[in-house]
Amino acid sequence: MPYNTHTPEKSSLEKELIESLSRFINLRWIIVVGICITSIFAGLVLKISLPLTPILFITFCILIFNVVCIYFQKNVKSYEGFANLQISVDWIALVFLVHYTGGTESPVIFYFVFHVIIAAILLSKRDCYLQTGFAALLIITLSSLEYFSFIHHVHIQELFPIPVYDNGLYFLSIIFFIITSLFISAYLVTSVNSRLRKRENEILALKNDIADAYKKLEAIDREKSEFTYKVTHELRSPLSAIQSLLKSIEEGYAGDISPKAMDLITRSEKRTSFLITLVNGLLDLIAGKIGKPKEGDKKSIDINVAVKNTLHLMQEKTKAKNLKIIIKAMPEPSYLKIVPDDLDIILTNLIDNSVKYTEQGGTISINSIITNKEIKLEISDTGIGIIKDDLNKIFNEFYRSKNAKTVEQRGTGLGLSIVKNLIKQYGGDIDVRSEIGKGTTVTVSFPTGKQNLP
Amino acid sequence: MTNQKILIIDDDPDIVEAMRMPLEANSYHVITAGNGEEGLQRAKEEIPDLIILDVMMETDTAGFHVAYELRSEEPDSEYKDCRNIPILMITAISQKKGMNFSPEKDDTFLPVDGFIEKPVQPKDLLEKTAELLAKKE
Repeated sequence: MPYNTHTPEKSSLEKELIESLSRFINLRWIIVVGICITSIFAGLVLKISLPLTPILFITFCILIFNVVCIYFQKNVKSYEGFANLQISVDWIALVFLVHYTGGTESPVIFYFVFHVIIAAILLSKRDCYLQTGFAALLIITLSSLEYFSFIHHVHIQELFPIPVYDNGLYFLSIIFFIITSLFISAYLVTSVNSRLRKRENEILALKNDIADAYKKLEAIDREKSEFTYKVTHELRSPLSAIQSLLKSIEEGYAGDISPKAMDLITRSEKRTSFLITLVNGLLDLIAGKIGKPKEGDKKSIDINVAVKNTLHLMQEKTKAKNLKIIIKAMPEPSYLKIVPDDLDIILTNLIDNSVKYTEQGGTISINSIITNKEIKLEISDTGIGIIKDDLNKIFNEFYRSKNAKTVEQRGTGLGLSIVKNLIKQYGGDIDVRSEIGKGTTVTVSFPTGKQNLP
Repeated sequence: MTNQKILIIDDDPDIVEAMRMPLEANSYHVITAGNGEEGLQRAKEEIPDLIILDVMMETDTAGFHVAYELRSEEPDSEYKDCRNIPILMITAISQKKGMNFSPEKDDTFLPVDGFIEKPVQPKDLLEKTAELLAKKE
């Protein structure tokens, strides 16, 4: 039975990282467009005195960087390193944008918070704090350089008539609150994120546990089946010996015996015969369950020929009941790759059922339909039919429908479960439709092509 | 019926007995061997007219080994005098029709002349025995 091969924890996290990275690369396009529109609108419509050239140049650099990211996205060795690099470059671009839009006064400075959130989503806790630290360092450096006039302070008159740097305390408090809000954001997002990660890991571990347990159960089940197979197999030899001996007595080779003794011998012989049928049925059933067939045993068999062979071997029974047999087969042979014994068991069981449960003079029609997807075999009879409530039970081991018992008192109740198990092994299907008193149609289908190999 | 000699090689004394009864009732002279090795030995000594051989003895396929030895094409084979003795194989492996087993259909068939299934049906056994002996003559 197939079970999911669970991807190891690490690669699943990596997969998630790759997905997030490409999402953020897409987001960068929007940011590029956003900056262009906002700055041009602010500069040209609102007549705010922004230095448009450097701003647009920075935007252009971001755009080029994004193209490079997309180009290298597929051959990256460490995605964490790639994420760290992107965030660092973004910080630098952002710090330049902040500088050209008014330094500490610039409203663009709020955008540092978004990058902290992105870092917290993409990176480990440690890396996120390191990145936040780097951002804080960039902000402090920029504002100090501007404050001490090492670099020129772009003063946007329309937004801040009085430069922030004129009021030292106010300037310091802005820096303080911006940096603390960055760290608080980092803390909040990483703690939420790590809780999610933890839960995800728990689910993954659970999934692995379940897969392991399933595998173990399967192995135990198989062991049990193999044990049952061996035990059943051991029963066959003594039963065969008993039956052979009884048969010899019954046929008079051990001398004359009283009629009463002969009656008892006959009864014993019949019961032993039934036991042998049961043992053989059990062996077929378990063999089907544990997948006994081996690759070397498979052959291409024309299903139409196989049907004819099976019918030929049953002709004594069909003639005795005066059954009419109709075979509708396509002219071209339809080959099925199957272990001959398996096909034999399937056909013998199904056709034998039809013969058994169809009354004198009835009809059995066997129809083979071949499409390019499957080989279908329909076996219909005009027999006693199956009660509706029994339809889904007849494939259960040892189940015998009430109707069947009226025709034949003793039966193993294994035939259809054997057949179903075997068909399932070849990826095929079996379906039964029946109307009480009118007949039963059993449809067996095998996929053609490689998938029908067990 | 002449007193033709039949060697039964089978490790199950009860099966041997079940086969011996009908065979002896039909005036065959029955000799037996309880395992493959003993079977080969007796075949060499007695040169029977027919060998009835069980597949499953010490191992699941011990009978196959015996059959191959008896039919060996080697010029200095120990059993070269046994080469033409017909072999009837008893099997429980192919329970149904023996689709896999019948010599006409399988190219890797066994060097035996007929099959009979366990549990042994006396009628079946006698028929096959007579058939193989008739073919030999």
